[in-house]
Amino acid sequence: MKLNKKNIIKLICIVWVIFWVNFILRELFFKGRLFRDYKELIFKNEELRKSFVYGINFYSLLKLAQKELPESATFSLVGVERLSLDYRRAVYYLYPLLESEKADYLLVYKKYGFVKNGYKKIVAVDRETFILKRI
Amino acid sequence: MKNVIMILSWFLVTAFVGFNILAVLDKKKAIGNLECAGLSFLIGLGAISIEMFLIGAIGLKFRLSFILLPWIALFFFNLVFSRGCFTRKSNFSIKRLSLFEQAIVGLLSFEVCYTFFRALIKPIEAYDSVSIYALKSKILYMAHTIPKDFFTEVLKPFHGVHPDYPLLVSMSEVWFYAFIGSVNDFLVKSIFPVSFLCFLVAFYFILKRFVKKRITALLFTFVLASIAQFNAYATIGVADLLLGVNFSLGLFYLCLWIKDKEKSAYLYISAMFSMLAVWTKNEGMILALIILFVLFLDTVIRRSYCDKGKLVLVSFYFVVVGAFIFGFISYKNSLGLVNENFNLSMINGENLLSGLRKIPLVLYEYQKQFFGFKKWNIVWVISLFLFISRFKESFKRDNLYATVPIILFFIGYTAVYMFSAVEIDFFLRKTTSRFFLHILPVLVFWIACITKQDNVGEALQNA
Repeated sequence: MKLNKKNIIKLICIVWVIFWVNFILRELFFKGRLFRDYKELIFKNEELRKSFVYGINFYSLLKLAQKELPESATFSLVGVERLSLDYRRAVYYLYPLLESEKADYLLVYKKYGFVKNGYKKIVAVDRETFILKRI
Repeated sequence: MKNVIMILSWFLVTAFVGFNILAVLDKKKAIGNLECAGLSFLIGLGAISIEMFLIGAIGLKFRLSFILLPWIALFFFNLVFSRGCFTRKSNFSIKRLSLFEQAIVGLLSFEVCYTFFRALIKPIEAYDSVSIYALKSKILYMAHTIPKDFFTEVLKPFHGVHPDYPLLVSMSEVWFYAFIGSVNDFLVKSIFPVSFLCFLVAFYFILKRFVKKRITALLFTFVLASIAQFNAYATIGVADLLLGVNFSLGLFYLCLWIKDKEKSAYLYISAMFSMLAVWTKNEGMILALIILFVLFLDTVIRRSYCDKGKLVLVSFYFVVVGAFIFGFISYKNSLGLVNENFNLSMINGENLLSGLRKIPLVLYEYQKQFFGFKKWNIVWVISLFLFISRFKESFKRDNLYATVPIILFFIGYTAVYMFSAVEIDFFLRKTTSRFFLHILPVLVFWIACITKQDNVGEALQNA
């Protein structure tokens, strides 16, 4: 194949399409395995999709907090790194409940046996994910 | 099905607002019907978000009737005074496309559908989209207005929410919620793929005017749409894609006006999008200044200042965009809102010295992006190759107005990195790939223009 302008253009386009297809497939099936996620998500309702994205346990904790905490209550997260993605999602999801250091409620995520003076367990998702209330 | 109808009706109402604005700006119908549809949505979204900000700022509630009332009035105004503006000539027919062109349209359609799918399958969940934009829009929607102390007190407990950021995305989300009547963090994401689609439509028609060939315009529209970083940012709910869209449309319509100065509608549309760039992100200020510089450059090169009519138009542009920038800065200053990552007080001699030492790191990061095929395919490699091999051509009059903004973009953003107080490795790692999106449509446009005489599309079709 002679390296004239036409062939260079053709070559560039072939490379472009190969990269384009390759990175879509790689993300879907190999590295990202997004196809598996999409297959899971596509037939689920919004609640279940949210739960899938947030993580089942974490989402259950947020739902429980939303149900159990009074409107003006403050909360603090235990077991979630401050300013992490989960933390951000919790702050967003639970608004108008506000996060505070001296919180009325502690939302404990995956901390089996966690206790704190002045707080008692009021409701639980499971043994390691639960809500404590200031007494 | 209910969701599709909701998104569709929200799109139509938003486009209706933009269409009526466009009818005022473009009385001579320089814009064809499909391009008009794309622009109508983008202009409508921007205009409603600004309007909602004003409604909230004066303490009124975000009621649908309040929001739509001025636009319904504008519709009746257009109906009475410029009835002809409601019909526009058609400028695209799928029937006349060659097989190769149909294949490109097919690939483009796939990319758009896949982008919609990825956006709507998950709720708002990415870091910045949750912590900056969605949180603000939820607070604003639940308050039904902008609380008086919103920027100073209400946002205080939320670390990293950046109260100084412009509100296009947040207000657009509030507009969506106000329209459907509830917070829905799945459907609200449709703002982004719809904007993506509308922009691609506008991009195609603009490019076609420059490259003259339909096949080339289609091909480069596909090139842009298929860049992974570009379409990924149409799915996650942050402002970077919209900034790239608003900036590039501001620049493209300015270039169109420079090409055909009889069509002043191009200049008005450009001014509109320059303002929307400022309203999208703080970086929009730099990008709007770049557009103003291009206009200044053209005025000097072509001695437009000798023509009184053109000089009035150019002055109008500078006054309107300048007033918007000044008004926005004044508003932020009045509330004491300062960006902690970069602000003008950081530009001083001391920071210049430390900033010079950051340049190798910045260049290294740029290089990483240029060769990051996963995100950018080979678009940066192609443009580097073209810039070197066609250096002189890049600065010829036809290409100058695309080349200069790209160079100024790199100078401006490198200066931000140099003077910023943020730890440079962290700042580069977190922002460069997003920042490059701001210039990407202009870069693809530049490639298309500089390879115009090669007839890339036809060469491929014949091959």
